[in-house]
Parts: sequence; C-alpha cells; structure tokens
Amino acid sequence: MPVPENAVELVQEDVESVFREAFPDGTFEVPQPFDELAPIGSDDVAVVPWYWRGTHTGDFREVRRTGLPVEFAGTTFLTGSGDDLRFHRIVDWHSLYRQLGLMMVCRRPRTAETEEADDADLAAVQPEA
Amino acid sequence: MPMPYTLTRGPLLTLVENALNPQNPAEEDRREVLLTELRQGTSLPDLVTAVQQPFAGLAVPKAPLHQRLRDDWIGQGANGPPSEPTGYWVGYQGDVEGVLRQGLIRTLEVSMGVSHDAPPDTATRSWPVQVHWKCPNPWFEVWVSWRRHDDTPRGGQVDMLIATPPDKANRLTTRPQFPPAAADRAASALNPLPEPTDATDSQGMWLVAHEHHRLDVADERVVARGGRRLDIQTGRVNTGGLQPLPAGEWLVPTPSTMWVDEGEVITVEPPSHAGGADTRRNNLP
Repeated sequence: MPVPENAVELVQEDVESVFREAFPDGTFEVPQPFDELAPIGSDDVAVVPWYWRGTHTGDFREVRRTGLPVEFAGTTFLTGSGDDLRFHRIVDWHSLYRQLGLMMVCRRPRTAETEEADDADLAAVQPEA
Repeated sequence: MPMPYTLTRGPLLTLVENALNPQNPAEEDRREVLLTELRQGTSLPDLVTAVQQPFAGLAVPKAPLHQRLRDDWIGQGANGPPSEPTGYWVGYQGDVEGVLRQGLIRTLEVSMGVSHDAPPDTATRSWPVQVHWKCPNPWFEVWVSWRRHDDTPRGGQVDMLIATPPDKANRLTTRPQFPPAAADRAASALNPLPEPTDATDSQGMWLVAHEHHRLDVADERVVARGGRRLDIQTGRVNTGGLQPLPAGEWLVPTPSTMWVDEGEVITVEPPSHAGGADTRRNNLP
C-alpha cells in the first residue's frame, strides 16, 4: 500500500491538530537537509522529521499557559493509505516540558535497588559517644 | 544522614535549634554573639562548627559538619560555573548561604524581639524556635513564622522552615511505615512503625499518609482538536511513541511523574535517625 505523496502536508496537519491551540503562533518546519527529501521512505512507510516552534499562550493539557517560547523536534512515520492511514510519532516531549519549566527531576524513590546504597549511607551514621 | 521523609527535624537541625534556644544566661550570650557573627558575614560552616554542642544518644553524621555544609549545601553558590547546580542540589543554582544566613538572622530577631539590625542586647524576649527541613522544593528558601501566646518572655513560638530543592544523596521512602533502619538496628526495617497513640509527649512529629506511594507514568490518548480524552494508558507496556494511531489522535504523556497513593491512611512517628523528633533532645525545658 503506497503512502500518499502529500505525506508532509498530512503530518503537518496532524502536528498542528495537537499543538495549534496551545501555541497559536506555532510554525511547522521540516528541517534541512530533509526538507527537499521528505517524505523519506519506501512504498510502505514515509518518514517526516519536523520541528515545532511557538509561544505557549494557550493551555496544553493540564499545563496552564506560560507565555514561554518553545522549540522541539519530532518524527512521524506514516503507514497505510486512504482511510487507514496510521501515524507513528516520536516526539521530544521531555524537551517540550523542560522548556515549559516543569520540574522533571525528583529524588529517586526508595526501591530494592537503592537499599544497598542506603545501607552504605547509614554506615556513615553512628550515635555519638 | 538519610532523609527518607519530605519533612525532617532530626539530629542535624537539633544542632541549629540548640544554638537558637538558649537555656541559661551563658547560652543567651552565645546567641547574641551568633546573631552578630551572622550579620557580619562569618562563614556558616565555621559558625555551626563553633556552636555545636554534644548531645548524648543522638545520631549525628560522622562526616565533618563543616565539610557537609560547605560542599553539599553551600557549594559555590550562585558563583558556580553556568549550568552547574549549587552544592548537591538537583536542578538549582543560587546563593544558599545567603538565604540560610538571612533566614537565621530573621529567625533570631523574631525570637529575641529585636528589630532588624538592632543591637542583640536589646532583646525583650526569648521565644522558643522550632526548625524543620522540607524537601523537595523547587528552589531554596526559608520561611519564618511565629505566634505570641502570652506576654511572658517565653510566651511565643517561632517556626523556621528550610525548604530546599531535591538533592543527590537522599532517597525518599515510599512506605512511611518502613524508614531505613538505624545503623545499629539493621533488622528493624522489617517491622512497621507502630501507630503513635500518646499525645502527651513533650514534643513530637507525626505523619499521616497512605501506606504506599507508587510512582506511575501515564499517557493520555486524546483527540487532538478539542483535547477530548479517549483513554489513559499507564505502565511501560502500553506507553510509547510508536503506537500506530489515526490522524489527529495522539498519545500525550502526562508532563510529570504521577504518584498514586494506595492502602489505608496511617499515622506514624518517624524515628530520630530518619529525621523525626526526639524527646531526648537537650533543648527542651
């Protein structure tokens, strides 16, 4: 099943569908050196690497608008055809959320794997005479 | 010292509390000197090392306090290399010593009833001070709050809350009933902490929480336009970017970790070695 020749436009519409509301001034771009090559792929799959740049002036899921500029990358693999088109997306969500100022670090939770390290820490603790 | 809970008192802060809560005229004099030294900019590690007093039966870090404060807490402050965190804090750069110093100055001034920068010997009272360490916080800050109970010199209470970012060394316990064992009682971690019942102790610190905090990840499956949620998928098996989806139907990861609380609501009294309060502290009347 050959993928459509307008795969780039389809991917752009798909990306805009999820980000346009939160980033009303956002732009979709297929970066160099892929801009002239896209869609890349074979008869069965098209690959479209892309960037989204915009200002976070609308809410994105539970993330309230911050007014911050963001730029992040994604790649969409397109399979199928006609009404059975399927989008397989790899998005740099971490970069997006980091630029929105969300705290992405937290102390590691205590697990079986950390027990040994904790024991080593505790070895440095002893009641004073 | 492990900090398995998000709020700590414990031995280290007892050192600070001891310096802030004099029990006799000689200690009151030392407190005045401490306030003067803080205002003059004496190094905090040097000050803490100088004022620490022995207190029997409490676990204190074997590593030199001076070194822990200097390297772990204060680091190179805001003067460190760009993009490098201060001390052992995760994702934070700032003047830890400056915030801590001003927090201690303000705490002492309120406790003593001394106006800001007024001479320490103008003290009109000596309100007891209680110190807590709250972690993790997005940034480093100190909260000073107080309340008058009556007009006597000790008729009030000052609370100093040191809120810090997460650090590289400590790990949270996700089961509040099972803190790490004390070094000399390795087997005790197998037994859950008993539920405290005696409300007449001279001091205490109880924690009310679920039995278990479970870390979870979740992806929302949404219709992109309008954001209508179709499903929420959790766990590693179902979560991933390469799922084939129709146009306009997206799998959007929740932007942070999600803690899912499970089990009964329980009350525990963290032991001193794990950051809890300890009735054996020598700063109690």
